Order: sequence, then C-alpha cells, then structure tokens
Amino acid sequence: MARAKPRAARVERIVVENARVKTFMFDLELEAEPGQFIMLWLPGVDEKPFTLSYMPKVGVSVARVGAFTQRLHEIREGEMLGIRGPYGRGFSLSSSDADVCLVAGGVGAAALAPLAETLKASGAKITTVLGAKSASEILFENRFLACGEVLVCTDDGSKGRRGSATALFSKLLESRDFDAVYACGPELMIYEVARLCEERGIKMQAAVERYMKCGIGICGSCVLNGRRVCVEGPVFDGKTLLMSEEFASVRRERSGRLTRVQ
Amino acid sequence: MSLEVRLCGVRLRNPTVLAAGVLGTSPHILKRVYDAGAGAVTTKSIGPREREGHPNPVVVEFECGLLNAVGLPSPPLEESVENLRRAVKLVKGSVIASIYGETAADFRHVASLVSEAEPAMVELNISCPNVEGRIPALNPAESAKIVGAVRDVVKQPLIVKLSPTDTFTIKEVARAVVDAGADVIAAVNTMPAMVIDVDFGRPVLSNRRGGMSGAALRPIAVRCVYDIYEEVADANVPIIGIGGVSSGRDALEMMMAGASAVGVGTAVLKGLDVFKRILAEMEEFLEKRCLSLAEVVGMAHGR
Repeated sequence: MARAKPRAARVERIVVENARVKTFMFDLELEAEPGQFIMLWLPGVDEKPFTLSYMPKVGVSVARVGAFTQRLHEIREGEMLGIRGPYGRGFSLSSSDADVCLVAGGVGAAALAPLAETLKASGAKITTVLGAKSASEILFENRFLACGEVLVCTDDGSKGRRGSATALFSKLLESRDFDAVYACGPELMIYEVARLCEERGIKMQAAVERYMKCGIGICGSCVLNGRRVCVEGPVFDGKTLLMSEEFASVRRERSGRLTRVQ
Repeated sequence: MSLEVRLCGVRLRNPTVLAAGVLGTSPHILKRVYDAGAGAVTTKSIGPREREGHPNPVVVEFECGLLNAVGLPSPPLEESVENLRRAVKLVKGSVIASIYGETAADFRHVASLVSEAEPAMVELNISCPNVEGRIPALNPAESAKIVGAVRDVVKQPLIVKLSPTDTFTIKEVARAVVDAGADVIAAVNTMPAMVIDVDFGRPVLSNRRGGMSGAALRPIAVRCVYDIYEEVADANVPIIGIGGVSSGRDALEMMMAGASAVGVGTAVLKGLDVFKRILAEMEEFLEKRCLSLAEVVGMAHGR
C-alpha cells in the first residue's frame, strides 16, 4: 500500500466529549505513537490533519472551529471517510523520566491523553495541567485522572482555578520540579511553557500546528523556519521551538502568506 | 572529483537542482535543502497575485509515483519577492526563481520584479498542468510569446520549463523558446494524470486531475530530454533534466540523454539526504569508468 493514498475507514462510534468536541472512532488500527497525526479526508470537502487521540484503534477528537470541522460534526456513525498516515514524529519518551507534567490547553488535550496513558503504562508519576475557556470545554479530564493528578483551570473560572494553563503551570513550578514536560494547545501557551522550562533546565516537548497540505514533506506549506512540521514535527523539543524565529510569531496561510500567530 | 557544472556562466557546485514546486516556500527551507547537498534550489513558482491553490487532497501516491494538484499557491507578489530576496541572501549558492502568470503581461510583470531580487536564474513555468486554462507549453507560438515578453526584463539566464504532455511537439516548442531568447530548457514538468479511489468511486485529488511525477515519469522525461538535445545542442542550450530521478544512475541516465543538470523533486520523499546519495553514486560510477561529467552529457546520442 502506498504511503500517501487514503484508505477507506468506517466511523464506528461518535462520542460527544464536550460543547465543542466530538471523538470519531474508526474501524481501523494503525501502529502509531502519541503526537503523530493522520490526514482525514471528507470526500468532496477537504482533507485536514488531526492528531490521534486514540491508538492503535484510530480515533480523532475534533473541535468545531470552521467549515471543515462543521461538516465533520455532521457525519454519522457508519459513514466512510478516507485516512492516510500516521505521519510525523510523535513524543519521544525516556524511561528515566519518572515525574512528568502535561500542560494541555483546550483541544490540545487530544494529543496528550494517549501520551498520558503511555506514560502511565511505563510507571511515571503524571501531573496534568488541564486548561480550557470554560467548564463546558474541558476535554478528557477522566482520562488524565486515570493516569494521575489533574489541576483544572478555566479562563472564566467556571471550573477549577480561574486563569490560564500557563499561569497555573508557572505557579506549580514554584513548589514542584519535573523530569520532563509535554505540552499541546494554543501556540502562545506552548511558547510560555517552553520558556519556563528552558529557564529551569527542564526537558520539554510540544506538538505544534501549521497549515498542512501534502502531509508527507514535499509541498512546503507547513514549514516552521527550515523544518517541515509534517515530517520533522509535529512534536518538537522546547529548545528547537524557542530558537525558531517564526514560532509564536508568524504562520503561513493556504497561499503561503505570513500572518501573525494569535 | 569535481561535479561542478556551469549553466550559461552560472556555477553550480554539482548538477542536482531542487525542482520547482517542491518545498521552496520559505528562505529557510531553501537554505536547508541547499545545505543538504543540492547544487541549486528553485523557489515555488511565484505568481502575479495571491492564490490559495486547490483544496486538499493535493497529493496522492500510487505504485510508481505521485500525483499532485497543489494549484500554484502563491503569497502576494511583494511578499514572494521579499522571500526571494531573503533566500538569495541566506543560501550560499544558486537560487533559481520560478515564476508563472496567466498572460504574457503577467509573466513580464512578475519577471521584472523577480529579476531585481538577484536570483541566479529565472525559470518560466509555462507547463503546470493543474491550473485553469491551457498549458502555454503545448503551443510553440504561445510559448515563444511569453519568452519574448520577459526577455528584456530578465537580467539573468532564462530557463523555460516544458511539458511532457505532447512528446511529439516538444522539439518544436524547444526550438521556438530558444529562438525567442531562452538560455536553458528545463524538461519536464509533471504529466497530466488521474487516480480514482475505488472505495469512494471518485478521483482522490480535489482538482480531480493532477500532474504525475516520480519513477513512472522518468522514461518519458528521458525521451523528452533526448529529443530536445537533438534540437538545441548545436545552439549550446543546456538542459536541466527533470522527472523521476532518485538515484545516481537515474541522474546519469538523464545526463546521457543530454541534460547538463538534473532536477530532483518527488525523490525528496526519501529524505533530504537524497541529494548526497545521488551525488555519491554518480561520483563512484564516474571514477570507476574514468569519465568526467562533461563526457556523460549527451553520451547516448549516436550510439
């Protein structure tokens, strides 16, 4: 089977996770690592990258944010979509990391939940900082709780501590030290987490997003400085991100035009 | 041994060239490909106005190659020119600026701005199969008209990239663009093609039709280069042979057909170290046979 050809996969089950996010489980198994992604094709609509929120049985958890995800949310169980991948580099784990922290912002929890389960299987102590805009947008709290301690925060204070995941993580660092930190969420959150870790000499990795077209490293749409997010990423270590002048600064739109990262 | 080549006075440290449309979106990635070993790097085609390209899927692989219909995405022209300027500064070697337009006047406008950014050469993409309208490269007069329109505003050597779509007129087109002022021929662009997904009963690419590249294109490209060489060799017009090259032997085959340099595109799927691998294999072959690179160019003719 060619690498970049979609396979037909049936949507076996759809789970409504919260006000914005649905999980789509497929009748397909892929050998994949937490942090890797697939290209999901809605024939006649478009094809977009999604991090795997479940593996090896393929599942993706998608927030309704635009035209494509709106259409995806209208899909019913039993329908057939196209999947290619898994692609990219996932989180790299070290067995000597015994005490780790996950920092998840919004739907970024989708990439970190399977990582938490993998880390738990290796016996690590896991603390998760789980942030969202409001209580109705917290994702996978139970999955993280099953793996360790969870500190919840919301922008509007409707659940947990009021404020950003970055602020809560920063506070946490006053009393705790970690062997490794893993983050996924808004880019400016990742930037702050990377900076805090760098200051304290803590190893850090994060999964980042760029506009993707080919997904296989040939079109150049998703480059972050000289790196292809679809091949060398989407997971990068904090040092690499902090040294990339485009990170937390600019991103390329579909045309290749640069716009500011919000 | 030296693998250095000269194309119309432009020195390339080796004959491999990153083909247009592959990676080429940012100064940093062009630098990275050059640092990975390419003899020259080509930008993604720069167009006259902002263009998003086609929706996904824009690529689909098959057993012996790849189809793409990315659809010439392009940032606004001023931004593309600024990117080019930065790439020329950042890359410690030759940067080729690929450009496209919908009309000869578009080409002239883009060419004049791009030429000011001081790339080593300017390449006219008159052969993309994935945009609305006709492919100029299928018609000698239309091709010559575009070359004529840009010739006096381009200070650098001018490359014209041809299409393999009509193998029987490619010689005529080559002759026409050379007569109109082209300095180098690049051959070939992708071949019009389609892949239909049987499970979904529809073409995979959103554009339905795409351009084929990779191994399946190579014998077609070799024939095109061979034919063009017959037509333009006595005019001393060098050819950049492009189509499915992924090894040193593939590159040598292309050069034996008449290419002075060799484009590498789809083979970057194997990793950016493909340039170094191609070069090492070429070098080993040449040393074993006691041949120079220049002796290989056009070797297959008359044999």
